[in-house]
Amino acid sequence: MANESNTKSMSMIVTKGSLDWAYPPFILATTAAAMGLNVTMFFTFYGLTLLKKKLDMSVTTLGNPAMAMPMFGMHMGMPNIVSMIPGVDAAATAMMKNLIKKKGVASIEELRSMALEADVKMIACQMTMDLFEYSLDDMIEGPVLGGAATYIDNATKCDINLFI
Amino acid sequence: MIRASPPKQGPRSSRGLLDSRLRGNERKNPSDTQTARNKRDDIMADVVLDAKGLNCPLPILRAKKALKDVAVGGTLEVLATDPGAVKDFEAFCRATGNELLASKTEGKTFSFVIKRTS
Repeated sequence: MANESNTKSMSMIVTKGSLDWAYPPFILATTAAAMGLNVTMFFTFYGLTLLKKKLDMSVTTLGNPAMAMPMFGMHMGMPNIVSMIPGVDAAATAMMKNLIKKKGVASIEELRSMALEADVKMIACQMTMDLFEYSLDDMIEGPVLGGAATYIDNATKCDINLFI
Repeated sequence: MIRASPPKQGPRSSRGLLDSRLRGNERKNPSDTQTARNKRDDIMADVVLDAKGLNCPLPILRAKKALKDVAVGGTLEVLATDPGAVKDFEAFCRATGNELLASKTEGKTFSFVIKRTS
């Protein structure tokens, strides 16, 4: 086993909670942990929704100019105005979830529990928990509360620091 | 999918019944194993992990879990269809210190043999 001074570490701030933005932090965290790094994830603002017991993430076509789904044999994007139509965002979410399942990509629930198994430290931002009136009881077992200073103190010792 | 039998076991015969139920794992009885070994001139792994159809990061994560069941010095063979897995397993072995003994492409399937070093 690598001794402590050789072990690399990674920290990341997770600020977004939509389905497409949920993947980068969990994929990076689980892979880094599998490669022997000490990983800390700091969840703040909409990232807090990724810690909820029951995950209900969605995507929107609004304001996502680079989003182009493989449909009808080509990649199709949607003009913003189409997202005003009731059901379009729900359809986009369903389409994304289908693609994920079809291509054998792990679900966020699976990645999240693998991260916890791999001893990834999860910190929930105290301030935004209060702001949005969440309590730790709404969240899964594992995350602890912390503030900006907790994050910064940890980040100064980490080799990789990411803002997602 | 993954056969986590104790790798120190010498003869393969005792794994017969379990093996026949596992997808992608053809070691049904000792004679089959012998033929298989003669056909392939490469390394026979202690544990085989079938990660076909799984995309990043699952092949690496499953391999990491599977390696825990391999004795130090033993080998794990991983079968994957994810093209990213080729570079990923090189990097994984570099980072963890495990040895990548073989990395082969057979049609759409990639196979990697990893030796656990610690």
